[in-house]
Amino acid sequence: MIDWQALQSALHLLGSSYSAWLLTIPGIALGMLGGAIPGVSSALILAIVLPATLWMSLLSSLIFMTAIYTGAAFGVAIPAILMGVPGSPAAVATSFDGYPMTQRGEHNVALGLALAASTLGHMGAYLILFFGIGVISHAVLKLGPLEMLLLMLWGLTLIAALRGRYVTRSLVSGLIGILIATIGLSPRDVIRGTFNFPELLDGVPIVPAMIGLFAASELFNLAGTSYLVSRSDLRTVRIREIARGMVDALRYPIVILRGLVIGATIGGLPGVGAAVCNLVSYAETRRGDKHPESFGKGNPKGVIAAESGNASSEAGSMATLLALGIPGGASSAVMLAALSLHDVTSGPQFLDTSKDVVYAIILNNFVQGAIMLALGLGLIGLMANVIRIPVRILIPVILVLATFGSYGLSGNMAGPLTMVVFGLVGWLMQRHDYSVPACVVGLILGGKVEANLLQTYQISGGWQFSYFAGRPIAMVLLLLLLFSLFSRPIMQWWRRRRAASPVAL
Amino acid sequence: MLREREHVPDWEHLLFAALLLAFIVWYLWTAAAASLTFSNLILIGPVGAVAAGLLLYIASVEIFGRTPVASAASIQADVAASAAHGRFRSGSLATIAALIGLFGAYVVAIPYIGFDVATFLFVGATLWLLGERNIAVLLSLALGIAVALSLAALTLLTFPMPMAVARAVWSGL
Repeated sequence: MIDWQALQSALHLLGSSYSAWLLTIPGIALGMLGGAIPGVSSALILAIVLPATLWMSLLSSLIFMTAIYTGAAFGVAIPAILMGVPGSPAAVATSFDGYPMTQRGEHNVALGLALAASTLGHMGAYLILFFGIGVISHAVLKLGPLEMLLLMLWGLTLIAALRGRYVTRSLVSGLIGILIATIGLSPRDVIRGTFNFPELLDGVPIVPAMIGLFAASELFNLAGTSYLVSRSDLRTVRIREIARGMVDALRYPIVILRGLVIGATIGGLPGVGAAVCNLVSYAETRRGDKHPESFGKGNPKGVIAAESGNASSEAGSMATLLALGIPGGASSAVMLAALSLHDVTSGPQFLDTSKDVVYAIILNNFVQGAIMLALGLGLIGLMANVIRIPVRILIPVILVLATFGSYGLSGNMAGPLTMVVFGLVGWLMQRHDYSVPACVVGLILGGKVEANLLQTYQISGGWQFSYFAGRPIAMVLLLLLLFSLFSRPIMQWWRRRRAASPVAL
Repeated sequence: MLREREHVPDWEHLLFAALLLAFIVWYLWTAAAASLTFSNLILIGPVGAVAAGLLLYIASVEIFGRTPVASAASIQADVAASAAHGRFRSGSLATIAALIGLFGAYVVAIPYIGFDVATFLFVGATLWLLGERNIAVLLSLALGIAVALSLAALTLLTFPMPMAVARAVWSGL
């Protein structure tokens, strides 16, 4: 189950790469502080630091980004608990019981519960990944271009179906993302949709486009907003009480375990991710509890369930990202772009040939859990204050940083200009409920979808039926794809029919 | 008897959907004009057609107002969104439009007035737009950020960033 040789060279890699370790602590701190600012999601922070990863080695950049991801999982809980404002959708369920605890004056205990649950959830889920990655790497090698094509399309459909308010609009965003990805010189040497700009021959620069879609558009939305900090929000932080909360969390191992299993497994499904995992973990814990009515009123188990579900989803989405090259959500989409900056295409081949890098990331993440615990305690006072940074200062600073970063990537004004255009597009999409993550995932996968489609067409001898009939995994994937596409419309039609028909009995 | 609430189409959304549709049609047209082969259109043909069809459906729902039945997932997303924004005061459209305009102007102006000066002006103007009225804070923040990032650009970036004064000052030091 464990590839000992790869594990050994992973230890060697980590032992010889001090820069990777040097980046772990600032990464976690940045994720925590950024995540603590309401309205700043982990995807936004990752998108802003993405250009800087160009100067790092592959391992260092992946470790830096997972460290940010790890820190943000706890950071977003802070405003959720102290102010009842989830820093991002990943902490929505944390606020359900965290904020009532704050109103009772137990905010320090709630923060301790969240910190312990995040840490244990994170480490536990990576432990599952540690034992599972060997099996996964063997299984994914059996996937051909047809299976990869269907997996990508299924992933896109799931993202559209789960993340947006309107499935049709989210599907349109995903499809438009695919179309934008095919701009430029095609695999068959045809120039498509470049507006005669030579800069677009290599395609739309994905990273600046992503910074625009995720970061600039979010910042435009934040303009003019100011969260209302009332007197009661100015709360003192007491380390001793936080420590008591951390010990309290250990009294509910089943809740933590349930959260981390949910996060590690369903977090691996494309489109699921932290935003869904914390809600599912919370709902499952409440359903199985003897006193479900106590949830939402400051039940510590609610905070633990939400945070362990949220923190453990990172390991699940990393598994999908590394094994299949399909991002689970916004944050892993940015990481996929970081891989492409290093000319690495993640997927079955990458997992097979670079298992040492994957083990190194997993091992580093165990340590990240411990660092998060220490940094969380040390920085919690600072984080409780960072949530009060005025948005009006944050917006110009991050926009200027984004411009700087996208210029650094492209080396000319094409990067910043792309970012502005996509910032506007992303803002318009959000305004009209077209899913931005679906568009980004389409943008990232579009090129691979086309390549796999062309390859399938060639291998199957021009759509020979016998080729498809001999691939049972592809058939299952096709059924899953059709199910996620049509299950909702069929259910809606069924409900409408039942509602319309007169009630018998 | 209760009368059904009259449906009012969201014209702004319709305009946005029309723009997306126009992009798809234009893109398919230019791609087909470049090469009308099967392998060129194998992906973008079907993808464009499905996206266009979905957009027409979305537009028809918007115009004729057949609201789809909300599903559990969409309700969950609604709850999450409203919880996330529950205690936010939403920004006015005019402020957002002005910010987008300022940001666009900033990026376009960099090659002409330099990254250093453009950054100073953009940060100052944005702080003013978003309600910072303390001139000392405004100027010192704008200057601090412009100086720090210009220094970073001069020392870290391998590509020369257009500068008005920062490069001359830096090389004179």
